[in-house]
Amino acid sequence: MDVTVSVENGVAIIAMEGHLDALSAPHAKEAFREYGTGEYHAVVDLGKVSFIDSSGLASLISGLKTFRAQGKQFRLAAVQPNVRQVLTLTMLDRAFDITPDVRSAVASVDA
Amino acid sequence: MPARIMSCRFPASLHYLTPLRHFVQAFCVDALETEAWEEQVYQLQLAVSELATNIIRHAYRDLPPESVEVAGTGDTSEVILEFWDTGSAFVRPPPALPELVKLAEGGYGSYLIQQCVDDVRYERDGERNYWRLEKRFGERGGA
Repeated sequence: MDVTVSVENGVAIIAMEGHLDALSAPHAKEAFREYGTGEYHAVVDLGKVSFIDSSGLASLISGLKTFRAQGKQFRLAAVQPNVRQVLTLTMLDRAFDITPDVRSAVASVDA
Repeated sequence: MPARIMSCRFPASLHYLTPLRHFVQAFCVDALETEAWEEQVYQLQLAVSELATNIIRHAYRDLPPESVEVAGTGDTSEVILEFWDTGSAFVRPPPALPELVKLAEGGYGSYLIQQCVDDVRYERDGERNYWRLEKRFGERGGA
């Protein structure tokens, strides 16, 4: 899994690519910890994540809690159908702010 | 067409999760003779991924990791996958969904396995763990 981060107007856009599973989830958590220190909101670009399992979900929940604890927003963007299916099955689609694409996610954070 | 069968063995390492999922996908497409049931194939891949992760993380927690044997049978409407490992016996957690309000960071794996296949069985077979996942496909697919 590749994780790349860019910063734009106080928003860390954390883009992931590949499979978010037990092997790669620690890399995601590390990125959330690094940018979840209170300086930035987060938009997690899942547009290129084609698989997620419970370990991947745990990393996203960890990120949500990390940013919330700092009073910052944590949004998911461009969630692909297979990943959406898992969020829906676990009802975590109700816990996350999910935006269709990265641009509107960043814009909604600014608002 | 006759039923398809397969078997493989993979090292009990998280590095083999992705190849294992690809292997399951390829076997399903071959047995089902179609790529039409992508969502249901994904569900089986997810169940397999959760099960393999549990074996690697829990069955081999205090043991040197060995390998996991997989055997599969499938036809145009159903795939059955069986798994054997020599790790410690499992105590199966209840497959309940954690409370949403608590935002738990664990406890989803067993629930997802149960949700994603039509039947899950576990037995301690001598010194080995035995798991059986059954998934029906198509209009009669249950999970």
